[in-house]
Amino acid sequence: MTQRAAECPGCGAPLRFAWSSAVQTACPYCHSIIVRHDVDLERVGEAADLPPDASPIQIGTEGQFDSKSFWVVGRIRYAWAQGNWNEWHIAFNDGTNGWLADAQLTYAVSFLRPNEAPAVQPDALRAGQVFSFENHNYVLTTLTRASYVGFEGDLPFTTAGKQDMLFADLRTEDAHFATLDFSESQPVLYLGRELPYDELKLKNVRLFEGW
Amino acid sequence: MSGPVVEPAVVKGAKPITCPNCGGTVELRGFAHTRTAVCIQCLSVIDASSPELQILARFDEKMRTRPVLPLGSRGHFGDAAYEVIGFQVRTTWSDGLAYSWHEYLLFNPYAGFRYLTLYNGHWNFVGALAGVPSNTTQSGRKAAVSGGVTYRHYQHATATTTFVMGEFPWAVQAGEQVEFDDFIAPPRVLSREVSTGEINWSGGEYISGADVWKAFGLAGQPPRVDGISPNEPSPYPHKLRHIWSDFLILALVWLGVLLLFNFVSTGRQFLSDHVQMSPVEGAAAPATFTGAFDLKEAENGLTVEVKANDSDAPALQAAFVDRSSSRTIPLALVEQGSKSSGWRDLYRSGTLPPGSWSVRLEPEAQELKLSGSYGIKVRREAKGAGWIWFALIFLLIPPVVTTLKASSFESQRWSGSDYGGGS
Repeated sequence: MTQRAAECPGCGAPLRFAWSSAVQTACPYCHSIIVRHDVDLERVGEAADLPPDASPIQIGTEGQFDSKSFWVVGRIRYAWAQGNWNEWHIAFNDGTNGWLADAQLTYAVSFLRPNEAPAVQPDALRAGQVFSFENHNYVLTTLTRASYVGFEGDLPFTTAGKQDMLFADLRTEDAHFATLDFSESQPVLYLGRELPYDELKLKNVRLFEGW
Repeated sequence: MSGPVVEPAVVKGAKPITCPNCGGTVELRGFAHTRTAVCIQCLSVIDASSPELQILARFDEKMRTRPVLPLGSRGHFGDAAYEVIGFQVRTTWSDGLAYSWHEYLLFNPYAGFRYLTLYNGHWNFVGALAGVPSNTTQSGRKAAVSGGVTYRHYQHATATTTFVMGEFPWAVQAGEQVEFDDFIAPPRVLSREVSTGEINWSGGEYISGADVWKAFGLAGQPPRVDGISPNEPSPYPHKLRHIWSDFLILALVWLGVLLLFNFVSTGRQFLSDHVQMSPVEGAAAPATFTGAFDLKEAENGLTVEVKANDSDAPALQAAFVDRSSSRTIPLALVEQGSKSSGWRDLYRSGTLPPGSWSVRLEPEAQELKLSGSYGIKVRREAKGAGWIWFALIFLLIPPVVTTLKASSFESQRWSGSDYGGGS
């Protein structure tokens, strides 16, 4: 894995990208939010400290999905009406990336499917609607209005300039999982699977006092 | 500037909070997951997610229920240990009667949240369901499919939270109501809960009180089991398989006995003959002999049938006579029958040694007034095998009784459902 070294435009500290295609990262020293445009780095703001949470996952946690090893390179923390959840940005050895969602210790892994999202308007979405993706019928189960709480590590896109967003979660009878992300001008589709903690075979997880 | 935005590798436990109502200490076990906690002293529901510790509700002291699994205790299920961090009592009303059950919220910081539910001594280990079941129908009733398994709809009801203790990762409201539907595929159960427009599915599996007690290492006995729970696995399919296969083996043995018995006890006819007796003027009626039959082995209890086709044919007396020694074996008359077209006498013999035998026939009257024509048969009757059929019926009792019990178990299972009384 190549690690591209650069200097933080905010404080000059060395920056190492854990994932070579990272678009956004946070300077671990000065908390600057840094966005990469080709080779140029731009400081677009300052990252807020993430409030304490109780996810067992952290940057550097390793795991497996469909017998392929991944490691955690970044995360976005979202807030919604009844709490928070994490989307952990995971990288695989072949350079591909995905997301490991951790919502109240229920886990799902999903991958961006470029250009596969249906042309639907968010206003037209209702729970119970059925969509077909890659030969599976997905039922729309939840519509979530969310906002960014913060991020850490490397991300494949920039969170700058976005605040409130809508996600539609869709599920199949056999634990396939899809998210329609309406934070861009066009909906973006992610497909994956819900799975129990054990199946992720996570290593380098956080420890919990008393456990 | 502080260090990197990487959280410490060890997550510290949350500090206990002080109840803003009574000043009591409220222990927290769910780390940052906990949103509401209940003061065990005054039953205030506290918003633990913000430092203001706002009181959201209070539960009625009258509803106080003692959990059978202590808060803070840990039980082992599969590879993971789970700690009891919350307890709630939920109640549903039907025909004016309240039915309450316990729900224990279990927590493991990696595997997440599970529940143990307890109703009438019956337990279920429950977790969030991956995926969303699809709707279907089975035998005209609602059903749900999850992971390729079809679950039959059991009931629709409204549950009210009537008592809460401990802490929860959601905002607990006193008297919160949810509508739920249960679908069963014993030993599994699916529950669909709808509250404030959100649909949540969970999946559970029946677990015995003894196994719960073992998982938690508890002393004493789990709560006594009463009745049959919706998704309790029936003990009968297993029993039925055994009892019917046992019956099949016994029935084969029985068939062998029947065949052997028939082979040994088959009836056989030794003689079928006709004799004619005519009056002799002025003389005593002579005896008449049938043709002879040979016995290679001694026979006991041979039947002699003497039949006349004319009801006026004179009555006769019969006896066996050995043709070589002239030894006579008397015959006992065992049955006499008559009808308009004749009569029939049946005799039974004692033991006949091997030899060549005839039946000697004499008229009962000294003098024969009319002539008669008679058919004589000597045979060994097949032994009566009635008892052997009773044996088969006897063998059928256990499997039939078990089959009826199995069917009664299933009707009891469904008696508490929305379909009770039907099917």
